[in-house]
Amino acid sequence: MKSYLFVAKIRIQTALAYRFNVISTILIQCLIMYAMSCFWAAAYSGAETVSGASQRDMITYTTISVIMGNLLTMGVQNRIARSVRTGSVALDLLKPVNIYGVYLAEDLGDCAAAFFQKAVPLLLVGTVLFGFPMPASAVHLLLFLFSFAIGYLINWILAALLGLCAFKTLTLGPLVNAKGFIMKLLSGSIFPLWFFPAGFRQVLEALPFMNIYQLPLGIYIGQYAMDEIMLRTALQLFWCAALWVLFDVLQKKMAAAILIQGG
Amino acid sequence: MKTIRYYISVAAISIRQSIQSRLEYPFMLIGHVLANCIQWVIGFATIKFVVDQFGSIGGWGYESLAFLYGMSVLSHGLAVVFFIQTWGMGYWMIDGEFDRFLLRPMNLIFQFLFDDFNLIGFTDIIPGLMVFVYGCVKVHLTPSCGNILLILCTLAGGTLIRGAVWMFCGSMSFWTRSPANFTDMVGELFERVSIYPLTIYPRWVQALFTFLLPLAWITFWPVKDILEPEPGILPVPMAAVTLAVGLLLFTGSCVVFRAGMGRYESAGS
Repeated sequence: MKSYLFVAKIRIQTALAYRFNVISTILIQCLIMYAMSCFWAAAYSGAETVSGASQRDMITYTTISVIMGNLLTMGVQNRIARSVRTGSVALDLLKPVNIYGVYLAEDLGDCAAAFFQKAVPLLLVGTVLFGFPMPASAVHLLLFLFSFAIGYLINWILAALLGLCAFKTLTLGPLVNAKGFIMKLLSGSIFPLWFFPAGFRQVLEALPFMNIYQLPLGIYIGQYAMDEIMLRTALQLFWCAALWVLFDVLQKKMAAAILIQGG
Repeated sequence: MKTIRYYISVAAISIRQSIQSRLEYPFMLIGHVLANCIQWVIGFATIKFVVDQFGSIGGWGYESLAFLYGMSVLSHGLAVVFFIQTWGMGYWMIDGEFDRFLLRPMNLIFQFLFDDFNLIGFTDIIPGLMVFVYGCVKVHLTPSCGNILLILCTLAGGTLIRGAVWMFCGSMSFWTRSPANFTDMVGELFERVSIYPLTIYPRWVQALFTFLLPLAWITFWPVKDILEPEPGILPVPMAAVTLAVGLLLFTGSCVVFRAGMGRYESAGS
C-alpha cells in the first residue's frame, strides 16, 4: 500500500509542475460551462421543465459534469500502450508490485491533483457565473459521492481494457480519441440520456457508460426517485464487478502473450 | 515561370510522399474512418435528439442545425488535411526542425504549408458530407450554381480561418519558447462557435465572435445567409465575407509566422 501511495504522491507533484497546462485547461472548461449554459438557456427559453429537469437543474448538471470530467481523466490506456511500445512493460512486470495497482495509483494521484488544481477553481468560477450548484439534498450529495466513486472505477477499468488492446495491436492509434468521444456522448456527460428517444435511451441505459456520468449527476440534481437510485446503483455495482472480472481474465491472458519490442 | 513550375513540382512530390506515408498504415486509416464516422454522426444525432425535445435552439430547428454542423465538420476536415503541421509547431521549434526549411533555397511559408498533406483529414470529410447532405435535403436547398458557389466560398474561407488560427497559436511558441499546445483549447472554441448557432449567446458574445475574434464567419454567418437571405445588410453575400476574412487572417498569420521565424534560434546542440 505504501508503494502505491508513493506513486500517487509523485504524480501529484508532477501535475503541480505544469502551470500552463492547468491554466489553459481551466480556461477551456470555463468556456464549455458558459457555452453550455447559454445552450440550455436558449433551449428552455422560458419552458418550466422538460423531461423532469428544469433549466436550473441543467446548469447544475453541466457545471458538475465539467468538474467531473477533470477528475475522470484516465492515463492508464496511454500508459499501457506506451510501455508496450517502448518495451518498458517488461521492467514494469518485474517490479514487486501489481503494475495495474501502480497505474491506478498514478491515475488517482492525477485525480487528487486535479481536484485542487481544476475542480475547486472551476467550482468557484461556476458559483460566480451561475450561483452555487446545489445538490437536491444532503442525502443526495452522499449518494452522489458514492456513485461517483463507483463510476470512477468503471471508467478506469474501461480505459484499462482499451489499454490491454495495445498488447495485441502495439498501438492504440485512433482508438483513444474514438473512445473518448463516444464515451463523452453516450455517458450523458453533455446531454443527459433522458432527452433521447425512448428506444435509443433504453439501449444506452443498458450499457455501462451512463454509470460514469449520468447516474451520479442525475442523483445530484434529484432526477431519480429513491427506489430508482437504489436499483440503478445496484446495477452500477454489477457493471463494476462484471467489468473487473473481465479485465482480470484478459489481463492474465495478455501477460502470457506479451511481446517485448527491442528488449 | 520556371520558378513557379519548379514550386508546383516540389509541392506535388511532397503531397505524394505524405499520402504514401499515410497509406503505409492501412489499418490506422480504416480505424480513423470508422472512429470519425461514429464520432460525428453520433455527435449530430445527440444534438438532434435534444433539439427534438425542445423544438428549436436559438430559433434554429434541427434541419438548419444539420446544415450548420455538416458545414463545420467539412471545413474542419479540410483544415486537418492542409494545416495539420501547425499542431506541432512548438515541438518543431524546440527540436530545431525548422532548420531544414531555412537551408533550402525556397520560400519558407511554401515549404511549411506543403510539408504535410494529411490524408487522414479526409476521414472527417466523409461523415461531414453525410450530415451536410442530410441537412441540404432537410432544408430543401436548391442545388443551383449560386448556392454551390456560396458553399464552396464558405468552405474555403472557413478552412483558411481555422488554419490561420492554428498557425497563429503555433507561432506563439517562437515568443514563449515553450511547446505549449493550444489545439485542444482552440478546437473547443471552434466547436462552440461553429456547430451551435451564434444566436444562443448574448449580444456581446455575438459581437465578440463577429468582429474581434472573427470565428463566427467559419460557418454561422454564411450559413445563415444561405438559409435565410436577408438582403440589404451587406452588398455582398456573407460567404464572400467569409472568404475575405479567411484570406485576411491567413495572410496575417503568415506574417506572424515569418516574424516568429526571425526569432528562431534552432536547437541548442
